[in-house]
Amino acid sequence: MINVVLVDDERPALKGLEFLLKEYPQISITGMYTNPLTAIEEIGRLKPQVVFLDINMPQLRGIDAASRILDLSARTDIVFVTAFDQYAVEAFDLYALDYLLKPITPERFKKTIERVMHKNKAVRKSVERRLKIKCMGCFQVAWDNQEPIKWRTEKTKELFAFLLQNNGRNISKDELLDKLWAEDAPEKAIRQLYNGIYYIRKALEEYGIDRSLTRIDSNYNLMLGPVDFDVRRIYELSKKDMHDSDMLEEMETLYTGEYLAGEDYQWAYFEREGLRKLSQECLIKLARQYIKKGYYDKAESKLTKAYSQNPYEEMITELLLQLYIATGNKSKAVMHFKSYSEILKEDLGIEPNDKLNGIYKSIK
Amino acid sequence: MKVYILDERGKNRDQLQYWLAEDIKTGTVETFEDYVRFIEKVGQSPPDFCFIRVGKSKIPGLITSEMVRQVSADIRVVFISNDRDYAVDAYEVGAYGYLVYPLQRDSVARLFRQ
Repeated sequence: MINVVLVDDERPALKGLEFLLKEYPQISITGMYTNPLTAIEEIGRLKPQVVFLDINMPQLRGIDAASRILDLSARTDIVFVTAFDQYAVEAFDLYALDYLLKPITPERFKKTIERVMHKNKAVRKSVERRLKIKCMGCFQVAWDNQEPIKWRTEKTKELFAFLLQNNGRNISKDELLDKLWAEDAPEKAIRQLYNGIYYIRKALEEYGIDRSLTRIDSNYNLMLGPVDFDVRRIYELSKKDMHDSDMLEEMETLYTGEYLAGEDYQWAYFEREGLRKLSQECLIKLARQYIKKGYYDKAESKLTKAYSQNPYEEMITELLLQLYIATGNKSKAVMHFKSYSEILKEDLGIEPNDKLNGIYKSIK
Repeated sequence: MKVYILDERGKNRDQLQYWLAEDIKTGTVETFEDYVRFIEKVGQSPPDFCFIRVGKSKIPGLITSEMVRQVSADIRVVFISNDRDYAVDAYEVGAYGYLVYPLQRDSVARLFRQ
């Protein structure tokens, strides 16, 4: 518990502070005074960790009150609360912990409390919540069930997405400038980069995402802690035994759309292709397993999904035809083969391969 | 101890550098005019103290100080300025000290006494 004393010659101002402090259960108000002379005597006895002190009081100037308080209780921190800005330099001379201008906003007050906590090394309990970083489908960074981070500019967002794609790897400044600011003059580009990093860190901080979760070091290496990052999970799953249908199903649900869908980032092209391929493989494996177990409906739905993503992949059509034959759905098999042939002809100017032709002929 | 100064060239800066070199006894005092070079160096080799000029258009002092804090919250930032106008802002960004030119010998020395 952190003990604080409030001193202001105006009672409503004391009430205002008391109200703001109510938000912080770690802080206990041990005294409130309208007369600074009484307050000083009491502070000598109470030795609180922090005194919130008004500067403009008729009995005694706050700056003088502060130095007397420090004489009596050297370890007490002073936070000045005032309507005047001209004493801030003196406040620094007295090593005052903070200087608050009235009216105090809750946001600014929070900073003060954070400083108090930091100084008193109070344990801050973080609430159990997970940070979700989503790159499949639309790009989003958000706490569970909360509004996603709003990036200051499109470029800030792109920079973060780029660092994320390269997380765990040192990136040279030149590479960053080349990939993201190729069209800008070097001097301008460097400044943009520094500002971008600054705004990313600021956004993360304002959003309550601390360094244990995401950290950008001096080599532009973005390091991720325990967060739910869909792309990382997809790669983890793809490295594991891909015959486990639970894992395959999890992977399929993660692929909610193309990688960074709707963002026109050139550097994301190969990553997008790679992930698309993984998703295809996943759907095909899953379909095979469903077929083996006799879950034909499920298998069909996975295969048609894979087909809609990439109609040219022969394996998908092969499996679909086999599936329709096995379930006695000849008409569906014929319809599918026809649509497949047309797409091949129109888009690529080729015919279905011999194997597929063979299967098709066996139906007729 | 490692100390960096970000300020334009001039007598004031030379004086500060000289005094700091006296105060810290062992260590280095490096000077910078460009905030980008400065912040780059802070990232590569974080100092114990930074002195950052505010109130000069070429040096965005307040933003630079926040960039420093993002690198590490343990780096102490002291603002230096020709006037007192930025002292409240300095508190806002969590500065450790605020010095006004022309500097007093003791106000520099006492920063290292605490």
